[in-house]
Amino acid sequence: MAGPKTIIIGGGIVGLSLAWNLARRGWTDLTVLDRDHLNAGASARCGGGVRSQWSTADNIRIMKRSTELFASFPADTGFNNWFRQEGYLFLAYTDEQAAMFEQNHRLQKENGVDSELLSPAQIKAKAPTINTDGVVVGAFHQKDGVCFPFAMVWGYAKACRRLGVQVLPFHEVIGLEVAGEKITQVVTNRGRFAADLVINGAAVWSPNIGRMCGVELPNCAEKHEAIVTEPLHPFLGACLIPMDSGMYLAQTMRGEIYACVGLEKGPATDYDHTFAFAQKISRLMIRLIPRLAGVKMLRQWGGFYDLTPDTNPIVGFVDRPSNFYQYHGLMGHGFMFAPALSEMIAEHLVAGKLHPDIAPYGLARFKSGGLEVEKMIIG
Amino acid sequence: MPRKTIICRCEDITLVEVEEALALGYRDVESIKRYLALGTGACQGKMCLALLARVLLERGVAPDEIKPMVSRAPLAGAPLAAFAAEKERA
Repeated sequence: MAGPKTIIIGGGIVGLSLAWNLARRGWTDLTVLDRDHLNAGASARCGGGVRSQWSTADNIRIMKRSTELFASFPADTGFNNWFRQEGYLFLAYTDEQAAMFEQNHRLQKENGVDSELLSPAQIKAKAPTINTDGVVVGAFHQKDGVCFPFAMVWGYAKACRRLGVQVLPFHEVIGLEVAGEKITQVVTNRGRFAADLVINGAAVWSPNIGRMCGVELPNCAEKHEAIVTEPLHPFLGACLIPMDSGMYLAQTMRGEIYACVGLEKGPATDYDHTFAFAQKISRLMIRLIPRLAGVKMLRQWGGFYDLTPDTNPIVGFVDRPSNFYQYHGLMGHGFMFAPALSEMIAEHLVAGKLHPDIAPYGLARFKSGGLEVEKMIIG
Repeated sequence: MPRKTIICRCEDITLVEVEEALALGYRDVESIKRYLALGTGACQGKMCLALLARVLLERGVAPDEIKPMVSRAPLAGAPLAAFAAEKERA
């Protein structure tokens, strides 16, 4: 039994990790459609950060599991994801931020995440190159880390194909045909696909897909930008997040420094890079690590955070069409959440077991005001 | 060209690796770039793109299907201090 004929729209880490999790559980009649080449969207534009330091219990638990899955990814898929667990180091500059760190730290401990609070002297010992002026306290978790985003997409795509999943780039969905209560056909620019089940994993483009069958989705695309420098000898272990700016900065396995920070809030229609961003991020980087002043920026680019009104994902079936499953609204951290969320969603779809951590994420919640807001969304 | 010919000097990508990517079905520049990290090093594709285009042409990809990788700022690598020193915009 190969399971229902399932079409997944979106070949990013969300769609591919779900396809792999479904195929492993015996659902192999699967097709993943992407309108572009693989690694074109958010999964390839993100920073590749993976952390369990969150402010809500469900996010902490989901990311604890996801971190384990990033670590076992090479063994599970046969593809090296260059995951490097040298921690995330958050820096607080005000008493209010320090109080939030303490509260988060307690909640993380309660949920099995072994994070620690560091004094400025301890921060200096851990990361001697960083400027700790004005830092009140740091929050650190050794098992957090940084992964090479492209490799996760390639690895899942390869593992999917090995299990018989069709992964089809350059297939843009242009219509959904509904008969009665169900979607029956997914129409692309390269042909039609019959479907028993359709999964919307198209991130900020999910509302466009929803509209094709009358489902209104509240997602908002917010533009974020990033830069990368020339490669340097490894000197920076942890991914750094100074909370005064919300920047995140890390050194990759290839030696480059990359950094991101928010510029404009609210809905965006493009992710073009801007000079204003290059200037802002350069100033923040030099302030945090003065020795970066002479390091060359090689490239800047932009991408979208897929925001929802209450900062939580949208996961689950909608009322109509009854075979239309949503999996998006991942708030700019879909890359790190996808491995664990996909595991839970596959259990939901294949075995009918709805994990309590994803149960609240249905679209219907917005009618009653939404969920608890996550405070540690960065960038 | 010998199989060990370097196509991308910054990232040490050889002809053999490009051929492996082609064999997996990746025939467009952006996919190959992301699969091999070709063109993602210090030169940002300035050295390797022409060589890659030649390999793709020789392997039967149509000329109008070979599009260059997206070019982004900065045009050439420049120190962070140069960007940071700009006066604040009004």
